[in-house]
Amino acid sequence: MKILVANRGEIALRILRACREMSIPSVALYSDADKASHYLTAADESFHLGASPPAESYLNQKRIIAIAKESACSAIHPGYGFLAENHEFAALCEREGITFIGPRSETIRKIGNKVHANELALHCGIPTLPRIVTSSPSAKEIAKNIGFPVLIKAAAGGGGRGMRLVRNASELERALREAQSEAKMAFGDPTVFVEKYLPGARHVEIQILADNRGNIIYLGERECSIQRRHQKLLEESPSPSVTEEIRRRMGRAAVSLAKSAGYRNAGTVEFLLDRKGNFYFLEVNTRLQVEHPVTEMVTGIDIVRRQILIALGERLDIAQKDIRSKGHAIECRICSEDPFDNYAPATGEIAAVRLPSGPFVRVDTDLPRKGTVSLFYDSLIAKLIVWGEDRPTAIARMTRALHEYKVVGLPTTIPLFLHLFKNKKFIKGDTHTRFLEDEVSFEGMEENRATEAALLAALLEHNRRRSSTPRYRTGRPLSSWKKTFFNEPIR
Amino acid sequence: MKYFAEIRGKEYEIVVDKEGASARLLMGGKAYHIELDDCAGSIQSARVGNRRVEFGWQRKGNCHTIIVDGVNYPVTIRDSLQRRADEVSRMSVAVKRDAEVKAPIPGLVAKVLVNAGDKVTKGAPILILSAMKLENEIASPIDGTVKSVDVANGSKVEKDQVLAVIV
Repeated sequence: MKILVANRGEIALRILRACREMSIPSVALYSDADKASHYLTAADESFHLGASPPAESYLNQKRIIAIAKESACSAIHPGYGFLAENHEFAALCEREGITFIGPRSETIRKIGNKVHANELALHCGIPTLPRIVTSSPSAKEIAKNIGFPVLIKAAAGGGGRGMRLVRNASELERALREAQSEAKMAFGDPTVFVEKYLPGARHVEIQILADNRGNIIYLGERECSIQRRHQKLLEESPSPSVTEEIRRRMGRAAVSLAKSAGYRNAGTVEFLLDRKGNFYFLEVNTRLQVEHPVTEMVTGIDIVRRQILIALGERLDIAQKDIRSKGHAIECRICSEDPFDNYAPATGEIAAVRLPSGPFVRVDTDLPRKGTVSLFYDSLIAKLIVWGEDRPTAIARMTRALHEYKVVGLPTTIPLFLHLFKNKKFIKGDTHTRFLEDEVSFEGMEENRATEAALLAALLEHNRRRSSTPRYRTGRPLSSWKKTFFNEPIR
Repeated sequence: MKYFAEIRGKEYEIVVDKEGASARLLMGGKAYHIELDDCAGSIQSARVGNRRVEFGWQRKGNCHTIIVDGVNYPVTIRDSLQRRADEVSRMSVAVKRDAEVKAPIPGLVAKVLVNAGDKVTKGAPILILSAMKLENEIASPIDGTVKSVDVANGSKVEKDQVLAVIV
């Protein structure tokens, strides 16, 4: 087997590392912007894709297949984002005789579509949220059939893009416009639908693994309620609000859905858990997810390795009863966004990095030292994951690691997490999907180390001035008169 | 030597008294003993009183960005003379009457929605800015007429770059 990784950054590095560990030859790809990126060093060979914009590089199906054939790759791992859930690309691989490391193209096409997936869930007896499926629903229709607040979602979408929260009828028009436009840009399909929004609910997802012979298991759950603009920022496993009984019911629901879809390889079934312990099916992510490390840390299972083994035709040799979750894991997404400036994303040079380490600390990053954050890709700089024997220990360890982590050059979400971990409700595990936006404020946070910063800057500036001015041995600066007298010959 | 440190609008008065490698700084009536290590590069370390600290550092002119606990503190350091000079120049800046629509984040102009001469209302979309795979509608801050559109479809823009001017 020889694997081509059709992705970039930290996830490409993750997959390439799995290949190395399994002694499988690997090929990486890079656009202009990624010529000097770190992940390329983990591959046996790397090839140039094209210009930096994704359409010309990481989304360029023809070019990727051409390189795969040129370098004699027998399989392609799509990572997450880009072509990972593009059923046409998966079908293209199948036609070209290249193993797509993921579900079959038919499966991706069917359950990747949120409307169809919802129907399948209903068919399996899994509760779903009321929704309206028309591209431009009227406010009246919505109020009558579902009731505000609602969430507009892209039918062909995923990853929180093309989503907009609409609290009342007056917000509907603009939200529809933006969501449709974002959906068209991200997924090539502007079709959206409208779904009831449950305030105070939590985002809980189940990781599944299925081999090519119908054996499907679930690897516990992840709670991903800490989000901003529907983008996850922090994930943890287990969820503080999931009992053993809820876990079993959710897990079984996820597996039955996967079975009826003929699912293969890794995937995630997302649910919304309300405050009464009822869960509702949201969607299926037919790919490896960003937050897979938290599941790896608590179950001891290497998901990427398993994906490759499944793609090689191996039978899943773990039974459901063998899956145990131990301790607690948390992942913080370190992004180049400024939490003090409404999370304005920043691009540019990172001058220096110091990574945290120590017991049970894992960092998945393509920027372990200095580098560039490009405006063509997303703002994720690193994933910081820690494991602890219980949740309080994991939080304390994550706090310690965040203090050790140094990034110089761009603002990051590091201070956001440090602040979040002091929040009483978060410490209790009492969160929901609007927690970050509605209940966490940054008032007074900045003054913390401002005085120290002022002192250090003053001293640094003082030293800089003194070293650039010529001096007497006593330390007094030379006057310009004397400088001229000594340096220029008297005529 | 007396300096004025300014961080996001707040000013601190600091007196630096240096003897060899070690320095004594006076601020707000308190004395601090600081010893900077001789590090090359953007990650510096120092002894501040009884603690050893590691911090990030970037300098642009007399603005030192100190990064502590992940927070960027842009500190502008000026001496008394510079401070007085800046005060004088601030007083003679003309008041702008046009409303500049600036890019809130760096990105690519996905679609320009208006032309020079168009009348717009406050909140009306002027253009779509795409950045890091997200689309943002940029709206007009005031009622008025579009004086100029300073970017085109596909333009790459920096943060705070002027996108259009409304009068």
